[in-house]
Amino acid sequence: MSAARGPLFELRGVSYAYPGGRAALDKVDLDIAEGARLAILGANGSGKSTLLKLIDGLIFPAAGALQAFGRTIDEQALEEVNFNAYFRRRVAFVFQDSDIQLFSPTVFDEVAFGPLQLDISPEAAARRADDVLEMLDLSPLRDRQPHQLSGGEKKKVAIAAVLAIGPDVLLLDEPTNNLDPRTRAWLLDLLLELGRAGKTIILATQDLDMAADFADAVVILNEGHQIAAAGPAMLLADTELLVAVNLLHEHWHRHGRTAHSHTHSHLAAHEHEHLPAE
Amino acid sequence: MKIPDWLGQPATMTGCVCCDVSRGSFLNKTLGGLQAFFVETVFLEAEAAKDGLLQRVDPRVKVSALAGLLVLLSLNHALAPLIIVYAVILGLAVASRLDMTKFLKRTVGPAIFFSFAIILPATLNIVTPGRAALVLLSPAKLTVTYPGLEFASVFWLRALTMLTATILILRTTRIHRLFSALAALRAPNFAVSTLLMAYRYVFVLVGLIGNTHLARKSRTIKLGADGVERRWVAERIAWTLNRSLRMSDDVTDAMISRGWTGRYARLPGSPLTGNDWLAAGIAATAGAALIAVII
Repeated sequence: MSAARGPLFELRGVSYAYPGGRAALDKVDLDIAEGARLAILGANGSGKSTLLKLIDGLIFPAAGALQAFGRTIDEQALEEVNFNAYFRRRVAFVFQDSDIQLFSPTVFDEVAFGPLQLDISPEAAARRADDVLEMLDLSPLRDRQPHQLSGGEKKKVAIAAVLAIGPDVLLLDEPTNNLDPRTRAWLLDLLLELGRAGKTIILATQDLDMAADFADAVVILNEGHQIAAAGPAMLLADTELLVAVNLLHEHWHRHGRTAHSHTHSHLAAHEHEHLPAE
Repeated sequence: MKIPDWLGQPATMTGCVCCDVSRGSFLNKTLGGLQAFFVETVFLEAEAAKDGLLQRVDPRVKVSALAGLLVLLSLNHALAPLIIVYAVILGLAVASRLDMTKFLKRTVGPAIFFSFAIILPATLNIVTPGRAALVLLSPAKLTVTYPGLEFASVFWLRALTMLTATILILRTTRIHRLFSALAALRAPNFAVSTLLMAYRYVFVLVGLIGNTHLARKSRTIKLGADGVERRWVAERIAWTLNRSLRMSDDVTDAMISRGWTGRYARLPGSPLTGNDWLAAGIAATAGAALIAVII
């Protein structure tokens, strides 16, 4: 997709393989505009998480190039102290497994961890942590330890922990996994609000409903680890494409004496009309 | 999708369900152990959160006082000061509203177990000569001596008092505040952060191991030979180790993603309150009195 305000991230022919040679991404070309609300969709193992890690500069392309903020993102660039600080301040990553991200002894320490890495005083970092906890109604959990939190609470704290840095770009890996409907709705509202505030939000997901409710652009990865399609969110209406990349499933089933087939996602409830039994 | 015929049949049961024999299962033992770990953790957290005397004192004061006490006790060679200090520590434990039965069990038992075996030979005349208190072997002249008994008593009571004081501080302080106190007292940030993260991820790994064992239990229809079961346990240990290594890589990524560059920045500790200063003053006075007695 092309960027109206110039791309924030540009990927050109990016490929990545895990140690052992198993391909994770193959010749990916992608532009991500500032302020975009982008959903990266794909079946299990299609390379969504790898793409997010590349965008966050945690791993680097084996082939091709990735540019962010006008600079090539490679190991050398992120070894520069100033650029690393600039990049980490602007881009934040919410991991799929909240336990990975919650490594501090208490919720407050966790949220304060990011600000403490910034060039602000410890007192200012503590205030910032308190502000974010209050904003997300997490203050009652302030002194709790991560193992005392529910799955939904962990996800909220993980999001609070990255928001405390004040990033411009938010990367979220399967954020709705294992969330109850209320927490999922809370997350959607939060992301839409952050999007309205001008944040660039990129989420990797298989949740088609979440993508449809949230995104203004989508990138669809196929099981060959390539981009099958990229464009506006209306691509989600292309059922043929979604079936081809294994995001939708077509099967026969029967209601009473009426047997028929239709496509559906395995992640969400679906509705359809039925013809009366003959 | 076509399911095979055998899958469509109702489950068949062989043998007699009314004349069964039970067999101790390693799965149940491990699950019981994991459950006990969580129960103990919740118990310790609850004790540290009680509204008792020492729970109200800042961990920095408690850790400093404990360090001073351990040094002084190691310099002391008399029995009377040890008895007094031990009595004071028990008094503090009562005032801190600890479960005294469990507290004594956790302190006296290990003190007996670990120090008695070490110190027993020192009671004999071949190590500590002196007047015989008990003759063990008459022709060989092997006796338990009074000086030997006194030395052993001081040694054992010192070990017991040190252990009791340390457990008292551990039981009256939430663990993360204890580690933070160590950092505030200039313990290396790297070491403290490593300890904190180790403590944090023990829970994740214990939960993981528990779920693995539950999954195995849910599909265990009959236990295999002991060798097979041992192999399974060994494989799970290796799997857990492998998983923890991968997890440590992911955690490092999560830290880097939030700007960590190897520098361990810390939040400032809250200032000591009047009560903390009072506690520090009392501890210092008691320490000075102990020094006077020792000298």
